[in-house]
Amino acid sequence: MLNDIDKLQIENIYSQQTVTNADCCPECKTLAYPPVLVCKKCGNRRYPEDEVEYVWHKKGYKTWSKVPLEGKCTLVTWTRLWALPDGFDVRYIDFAIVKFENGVKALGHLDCEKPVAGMTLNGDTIKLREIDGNDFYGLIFRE
Amino acid sequence: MRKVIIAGTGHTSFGNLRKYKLSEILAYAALDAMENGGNDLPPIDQVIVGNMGAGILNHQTGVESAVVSTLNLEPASAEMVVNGPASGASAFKVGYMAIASGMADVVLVTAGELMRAVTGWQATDFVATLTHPDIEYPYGITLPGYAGMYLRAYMDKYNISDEMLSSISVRDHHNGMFNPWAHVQVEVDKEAISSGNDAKVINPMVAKPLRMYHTCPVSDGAAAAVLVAADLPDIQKKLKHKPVFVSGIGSATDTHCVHNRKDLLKLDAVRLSAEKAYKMAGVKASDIDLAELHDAFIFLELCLAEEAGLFPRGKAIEAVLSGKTDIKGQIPINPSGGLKSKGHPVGGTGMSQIYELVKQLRGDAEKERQVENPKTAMAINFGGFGNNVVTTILQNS
Repeated sequence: MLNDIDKLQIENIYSQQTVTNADCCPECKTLAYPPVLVCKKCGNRRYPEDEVEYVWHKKGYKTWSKVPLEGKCTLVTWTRLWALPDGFDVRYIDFAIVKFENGVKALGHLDCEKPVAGMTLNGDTIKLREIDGNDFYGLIFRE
Repeated sequence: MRKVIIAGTGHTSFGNLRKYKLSEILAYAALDAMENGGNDLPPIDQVIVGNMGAGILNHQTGVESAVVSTLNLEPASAEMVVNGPASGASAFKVGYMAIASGMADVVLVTAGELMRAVTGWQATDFVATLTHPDIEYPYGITLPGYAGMYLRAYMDKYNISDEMLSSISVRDHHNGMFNPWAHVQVEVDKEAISSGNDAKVINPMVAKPLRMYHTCPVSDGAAAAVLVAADLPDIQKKLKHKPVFVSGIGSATDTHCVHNRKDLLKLDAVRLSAEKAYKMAGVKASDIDLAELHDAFIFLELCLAEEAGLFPRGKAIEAVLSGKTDIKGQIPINPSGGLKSKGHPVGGTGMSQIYELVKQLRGDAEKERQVENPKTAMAINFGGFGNNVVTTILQNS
């Protein structure tokens, strides 16, 4: 029987393992994936939201919004990987790096019969695997 | 800053050393370096250990203290330097800094890894923990995966074939045949691994288009050096060997996630670390007489050589094919056999590269692979997939 703390911990692990959004700087609107604490363009800082007022004493702090990575993207490069880490029961996985229309680049699984660099793909978030009994949702790119 | 001399160097064989503990192989390499340095040197006052995965692979922490006690070096100061696959060169850099800053006079640096204590899958998994814990690692991506994606783009851009790449394997394995420490001392036949009838079986895909003979083995091993301050009284008279000087060290970082680089094919940390090292040493790329380049995946030799300015972009493969990078060539690369043949105990590789430079600069390499009269030598130790890179330049005058 899980108590509230156990549930919260599992929820935290789950949320940490599922990052398919870019973070948007509230000052200059630059997107960052993965999340950063200092904006690469304008230097604006991001603080832990739960602590921003009482620990960091930042008044009028603007939170960073989330922008889902989905939709049209361009294939930059890809591979079919046989040298997988421990814990996978498939022979290989196809991987790709893509560039979304908003300029954000990302790594994800590839589901495409004849991939060619420069082709247009569609990005989506799906359940890719289970890690220690928890579902892992990640990016997949399809034709 | 004080000048620093490499007085002694040591090495263990690379391969399967499972019968030893990690602290033992680090101490064996250190003992070899201490013997090589001779008995007339002042006492060691600082020990630096380089390693990447003792806690994960060997369930051992505080390795630096174990090494000190095994060698009976108390009360020398001792610290561990962890910087992924660049741990070896970073440990050397910290050892250099300790003397150059005046905090120490004699420093022992030993770096190594015991990777074959776990299965191949677990070793691959261990190295993959270098990747981003949220948006890379859980997807199942590994370093060979990044190598495959990079190689595809590189081959397309510069019109490089699988057979051309195999020439690097052939050269590395030939050099490694004469290196007594090398893990895989086997000559490789180019046709057999690239165009022969059984090539697909002998040389299977690891991460398309990256094949098995394009990647290094998983190795155990360690290498070490004893560094001394050049301004110690009568130190030159106490050296057993011709002195080798640390002329330049540069290191730099790049984005943790490979996809965040503006140009996938540019390895900025390599270029910047080499530029810093050249500036510190007061030399140019054209002054380099030989180079040890981190070819965990053989094509990296090409990319590193190009980023460091040894060849124009896209032209390094021509240098390999024309024999310019052979032992007798214009700029010999990886006379040790490189990571491909010598092996790659991740945290020890950078120190092993420096060991090879010293051997070459002293003129002590095996005759089949001794470069003719080198004066300036360079090593590039490549951490992650170019996330953290250290370049070291040594000279014998």
